[in-house]
Parts: sequence; C-alpha cells; structure tokens
Amino acid sequence: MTKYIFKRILMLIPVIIGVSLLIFIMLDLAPGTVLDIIANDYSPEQLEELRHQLGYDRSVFYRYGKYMWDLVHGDLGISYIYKTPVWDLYMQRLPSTLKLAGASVLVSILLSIPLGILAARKHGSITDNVSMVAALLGLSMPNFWLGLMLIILFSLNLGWFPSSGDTEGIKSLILPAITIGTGLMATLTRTTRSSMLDVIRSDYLRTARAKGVPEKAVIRKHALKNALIPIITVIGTQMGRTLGGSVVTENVFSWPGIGRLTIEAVKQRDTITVTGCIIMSVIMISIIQLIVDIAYAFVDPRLKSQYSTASKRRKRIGRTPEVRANGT
Amino acid sequence: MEPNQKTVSVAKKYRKRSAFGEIWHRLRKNKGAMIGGILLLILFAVALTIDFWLDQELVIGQNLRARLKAPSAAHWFGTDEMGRDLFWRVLYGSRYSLAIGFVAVFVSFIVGVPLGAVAGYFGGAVETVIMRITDIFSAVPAILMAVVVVSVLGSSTINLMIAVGVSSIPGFVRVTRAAVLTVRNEEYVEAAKALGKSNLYIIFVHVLPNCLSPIIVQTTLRVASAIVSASSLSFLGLGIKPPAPEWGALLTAGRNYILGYSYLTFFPGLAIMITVLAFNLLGDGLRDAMDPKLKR
Repeated sequence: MTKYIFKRILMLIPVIIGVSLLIFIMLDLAPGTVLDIIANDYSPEQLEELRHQLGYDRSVFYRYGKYMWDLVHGDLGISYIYKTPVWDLYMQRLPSTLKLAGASVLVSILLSIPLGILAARKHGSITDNVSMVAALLGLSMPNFWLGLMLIILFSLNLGWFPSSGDTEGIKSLILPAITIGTGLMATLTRTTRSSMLDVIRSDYLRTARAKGVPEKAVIRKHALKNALIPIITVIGTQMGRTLGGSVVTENVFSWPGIGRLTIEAVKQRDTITVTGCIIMSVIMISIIQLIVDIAYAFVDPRLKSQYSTASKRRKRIGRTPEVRANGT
Repeated sequence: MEPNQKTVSVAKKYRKRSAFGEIWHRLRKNKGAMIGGILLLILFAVALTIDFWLDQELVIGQNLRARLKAPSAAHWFGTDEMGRDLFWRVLYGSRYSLAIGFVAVFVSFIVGVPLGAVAGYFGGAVETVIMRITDIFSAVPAILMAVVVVSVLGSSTINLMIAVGVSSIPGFVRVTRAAVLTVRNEEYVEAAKALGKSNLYIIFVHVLPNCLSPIIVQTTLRVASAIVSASSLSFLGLGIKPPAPEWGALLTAGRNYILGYSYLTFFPGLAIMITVLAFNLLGDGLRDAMDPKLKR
C-alpha cells in the first residue's frame, strides 16, 4: 500500500511541471503584465527596479525557471498584487472553499443516493421518469442562473438567507451549497440509478430475498454495497472539482474562496498567484483521487488484494509456494 | 421446410433498415430525444433566419419611455433599462449561443479526434506522449482553462469560441482513443494493413467510421456544456460584453437590476437552460439509440 501511494505521488510530479509550464507561459504571453496594473502605485524608478526584480526584463523562461526553483524548495512565491506569500493567500481562502465543497457534496449525496435508489427500484415508473427529468434539468441549469434565482427568491423576497459573503455561518452557506449541489446531484442521481440497475437484477439479490432477508437490508447491504464503486468515483471527482474552487458560484455569492482568488488573479495578470492556485488544486484533486482509489479497496474486498504484495498475500493464505509445491 | 409467411414479412421488416435506419427507429421511440430534437430544430430555424424577418431596430433600438417594463402582452419578457424588448433580444441571442457552442465544439473536435485516433491506433510512445499531455490539460479545471485562454487572447466572440473549445479537447481525445482501442485489432483493420494501405488511410477510412457513435454522442453533449461555459465566461466579464444580446451578457446586464426587475435575469437564463436541456436530451437519446447495451 505504501509503495502504491508513493508511486502515485511520484506520478504527480510530471503533471505539476506540465501544468505550471502551461499556465505560467500562457499567462505570460497575455498582453500586458502585472506591472501595467500596479503602475500607478509606484514611481517610474521603483517600477524599473521592480521590473528587474520580477525578471520582466528577461525572458519568460528565466521567470519560469526562477518560479520552479522556488517551487522545488516548497515556496509558491509572493503574489505581485497582494504582496503576501501565495501559500498564505491560499490558506486564507481554503477554509471557505473547503466548507462550501463539503456542504455541496453533502447536499448532493444526501439527496441523490436515495433518489437514485428509488428510481432504480421503481424502474420505468413515474417516480423513475420524474426523477430522471429532474436530474436532467439540474444538469442543464447554469450555476450562475440558479444562484441568482435562489438569491431573488430566498434573499431578496423572503429574506431568509444572506445573498453574499461568508459571514453568517451556516446561513450564508446554504444557498451557495444548493447551487453547486444541484449540478452535482444530477450526475450522482444518474450514476446511482444506473449502477443500482446493474445490481438489482443480479442472482445474489434474488438469493438474498429468497432466504428471507428483509427488503431494507437487501437494498442497503446487498445491492447498494455492490453498486458503490461508480458512486464513489463520481463523488470523488466532484469533491476534487469543487475543491479547486467553484469559480462561477463563488462569484455569484461573493464567496471568499479559491475560485474567486484565481479569477481576480487572472484578471490582474498575477501569474504567480494563478499558477500557485492551479497547482494546489491539481494536488488537491490527486489527493482526493488517491483517497477514492484506496476507498475502493474497503468497499470491494476483491480489489484489496491488488494493493498487497505477493509475499503478504502468501502470509495471509498461510502457505508458501514451496509448501504448495510439496502438495501439503 | 417452407418458412411461413409471417416470419418472412417480419424478417423483411427488420432487414430493410440500414444501421442508421435502426438508430433512427430507436431514437424516434425516445420521447425525450424527440422533444430535444424538435426544440433544437426550432432554435436552429430561428437562429438561421432571424436576420431576414426581424427588424434590427427591435433588438438594438432604444425607447427610454418604455424602460424597465414588466412582462406583459406587448412585451412578453418585459423591457430592459434602455427600453429594449427582452423577448426579441433573447430570441436574437440564440444566434450567439448556438454559434459559440458549435464552433467551440468544432475546434475541440478537429484537434481532439485526430489526436485520440492517432494515440489509440499507434499505441506505444506516441500514445504515451499524447495521453500525458492530455492529462496535463485535463488537470486544470475546464472553466479555469477557458478563463486563462481568453485572457491570453483577449475577449472577443472568436476568442471565446477558441477558449471554450480548447478546454474541451481532452474529452474528445479520451473518447476517441477509447473507441479506437476497441476497433484497432479487428480483422478488417488487419486486412487493410495486409493490403498495404497507409496508416492514415486506415485510420480515416476503416477505423474512425467504426468509432462514430461515441464521438457523435460526445459532440452533442459537449455542445451543451460549451454553451454553458461560454455564457459563464460572459457572466464573469471575460466573454461577450453587454449590450450584445448574448444570453450570458444579457443576464449579466440584468443582474444590475436584480432588485425589482428579476425578469431581466430570469428569461436569458431560462433560454440557456432550455437550449442546454434540448442538447442533453438529444445526446442521451442518441447514446441509448446507438448503443442499446448501455440503455437503462
């Protein structure tokens, strides 16, 4: 297992190099530099000094090399605009994004798994059709529109929840979480349904019913457990994606998260901050992916054996090849 | 033994259909796909012909005396802050959204499908290089990728199309490669190789035509997400700027009047949703029709 995790971390390195190169160079090619944006705050001499300091008097590759040199030493650099280390900026915004990602994935899990199971159990019924149409509607709704509609209804007209910011605890979390959760729900409901349908007609379910297992236990223990792998995969992907910051929804609700930090940084040509945020989100996504892969092993014992090495497997079986060869 | 008359007629009925006839037959039975298809046909008809029958003045002409009127019989979707009728503006906006959706997907199709085909067909080092680069592109969230590309190129309609297109290339590479992998060891490919056909010829004449269904489904569904991405970029202020009647831009403009004039944000968003829904319905239907094994 440790070896597997180590290998996965090693595989991340070329992706990080590639992503940073791609983003850094692309942003650098964009017309205008950060110096044009902050020009008004400095005297011409200071600006010249800064140009030299940031390496804007040399080639892109010099700046990228410098950035990577710092990165290798665990330093994400200092933001041009905020003049604080990117790591601190990121950590400042991370709690809000974590909260939002957690809440929206939770909303989606709580609603879509029961809905998906229900749809699968009543395959072809009105319940099934209605929930599938609802899922498709959720999938087709642009986030920013849903967010604005929720604001119009629940903040402006009913006044139940605040329309922006992350200042009122759980109250300010509800609307953005529903906004992101709806999009996630659609995919998760569809996955749950199709995965359950695969399982629901299987022989072991018929056996379980035949031996008198109560229907509730049949669904929860026998069916759902076997249908979980695709469901976990989708949840993992969604968690990873929302952790990168939901650019659009954070913008609608003026949510102080990473998505908004990244967008602002792009607009201000703050290459270092953008690259840093994207690298961090790539790392986050891989960590979640790794957790998901490990979770597979716990959900499905058949997969666990793939992680253990040959010697360990032998130990578990309690026989060495020699013993087996001797016929005992 | 003489086959009885009934069997023969049934067999004839089924034999008559070509592969596409069969798909069309299955698609026609799918209500959702038909609704989506009809909606799209109407939208296309409107978008393609609107220049001929709609007075431009209705779309851009200002009438300050009729500003911010709520929806009524005279103005179905109400009027905006300049007194322009929102219904006509939304209708005109279909041109932008459909064009952006299609051109963007065309960009990713043109780049992604050949790359995926080459990766799947040749395998080995070529595949490794292409797939690792695809991994890098797909590691960056699509919307951020589009944001970065648009800020490099500058915001204009064409650049918006390119940005959205670039961000959905990885999807096409993956789908095409996966499809090609299932075909590349088929006997007809081997036969073509034995006949000494060039690799390029085999890919385009033998391999890709047999991988069409997943690619068509991917294309339909991608148009839907491209329309959403493009209007999201407009919403973030990086795409098409108001007062152009693109749906995302209309919605952004309406956002300033959200207090009291919420219909200004409601209708453009509704238009986006219906269009995207139509593409999703059709895409789902196509997937079911083309691959009955996947049907649920």
